[in-house]
Amino acid sequence: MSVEVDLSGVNGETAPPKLHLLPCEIEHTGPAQVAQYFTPSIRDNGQGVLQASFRGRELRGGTVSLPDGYTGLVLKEKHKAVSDEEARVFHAGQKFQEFTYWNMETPPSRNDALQKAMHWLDISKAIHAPVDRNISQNGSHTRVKLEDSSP
Amino acid sequence: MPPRRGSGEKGRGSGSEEKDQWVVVVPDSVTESQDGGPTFVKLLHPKTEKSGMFLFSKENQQVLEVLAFQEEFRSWFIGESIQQDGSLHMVTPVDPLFLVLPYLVKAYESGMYMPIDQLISDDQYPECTRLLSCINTSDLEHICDVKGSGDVRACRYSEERTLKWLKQKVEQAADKLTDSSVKVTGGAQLLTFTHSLKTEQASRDDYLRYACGLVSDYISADLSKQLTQHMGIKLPEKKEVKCGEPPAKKAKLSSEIPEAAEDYSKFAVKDDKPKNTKMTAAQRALSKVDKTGMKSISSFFSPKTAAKNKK
Repeated sequence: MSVEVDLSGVNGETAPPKLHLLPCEIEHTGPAQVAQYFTPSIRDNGQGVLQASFRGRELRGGTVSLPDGYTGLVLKEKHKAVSDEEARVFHAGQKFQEFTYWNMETPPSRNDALQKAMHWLDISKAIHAPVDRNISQNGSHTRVKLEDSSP
Repeated sequence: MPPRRGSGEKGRGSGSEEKDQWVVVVPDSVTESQDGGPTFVKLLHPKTEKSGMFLFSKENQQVLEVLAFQEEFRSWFIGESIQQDGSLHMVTPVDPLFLVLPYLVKAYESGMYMPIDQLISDDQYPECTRLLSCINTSDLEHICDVKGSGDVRACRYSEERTLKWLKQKVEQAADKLTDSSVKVTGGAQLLTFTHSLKTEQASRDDYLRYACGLVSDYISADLSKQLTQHMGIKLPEKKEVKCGEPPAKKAKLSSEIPEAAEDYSKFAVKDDKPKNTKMTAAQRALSKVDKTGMKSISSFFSPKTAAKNKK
């Protein structure tokens, strides 16, 4: 099974959508009046922490920018494949560079699972980058030597 | 973004509905090409030996893995809409050598040198042939003995080369962890103290051990064992527990990704506790009592000792 991604719909001209990752599960997928009811409740407390309220609960949040070199996409399958043979296609509709994530009471911090997960984008590079061939032949690693010699 | 209203989708969003929308983060290199997009395919995951979701960039130049960051009770607001599924899919490049390694190891049993395109074929995952165009032929020398030159090259898995290559991977990753000051020692940490404590914690060994855990997510449990031996990394006992039951890719992700390796320390701690918790309330009360001069109740019912006592 393979799924093709159609990037032709990605449009840089329209304003990117506002994404909010909420600390609750909403049993609904579909249109909602976010701009009318949620967005007006967002306040910046001046210390880099955002506050909002949703269904009477206070939320604390922060903006997460994607690291350089990464882009966010919302992929949508417009037509469900009827049979197994039919190729599935995801359409990339909206592009984003940042989103807001919300916690219940705790202000966002580096201890949050999400912030740690964002580290992965960077760290995975080091694991998957091709190894340096020259070092490979020596069988040693210059940097390690330096660090090993220090107490 | 224009609000998606009146599309007749209202009321359709029950939980039972199959997902048709995903929030993903991908490298720019994948989105830049406008004609002919990337393709999601299922491939054999080298660690779990089950299927994993991967993405091939246009014309199979690059292979990327798809990881889902999921927490309980999360949903998205996307513009003027709700998406019930609050997962964030991270698509990051993967070294194709990790993905061909299981095929090479398997073929090694025959002991024969074979052309790479014959080695990488799989009835269960036919898409794996896409990997061939991701791999730089010369890079195969990191994991294979190669015979011949030019177009006629035959390969055979080499454990020695592979371990050397993996060791470099671990060192690369450890360097990165050091630079980005990711916390690799166990336990929770108060943010207030991070600045003062950061510098004196985590030795090079800690970073290497952690990095080794990260790399081990892309190799089989056997190879992971060999790697830790090869590098002389001492893992806390109970490492076997982790190897024995490699968690499914998604399970691993639903917890914090960089934290996974900390399980080692958790295992070690957990092991001591159950002994105490198994005691009943009465046993606990008894353990506090001064027991000098007290006999076990069973001694009163043993005929031999009873007879001796009479004499």
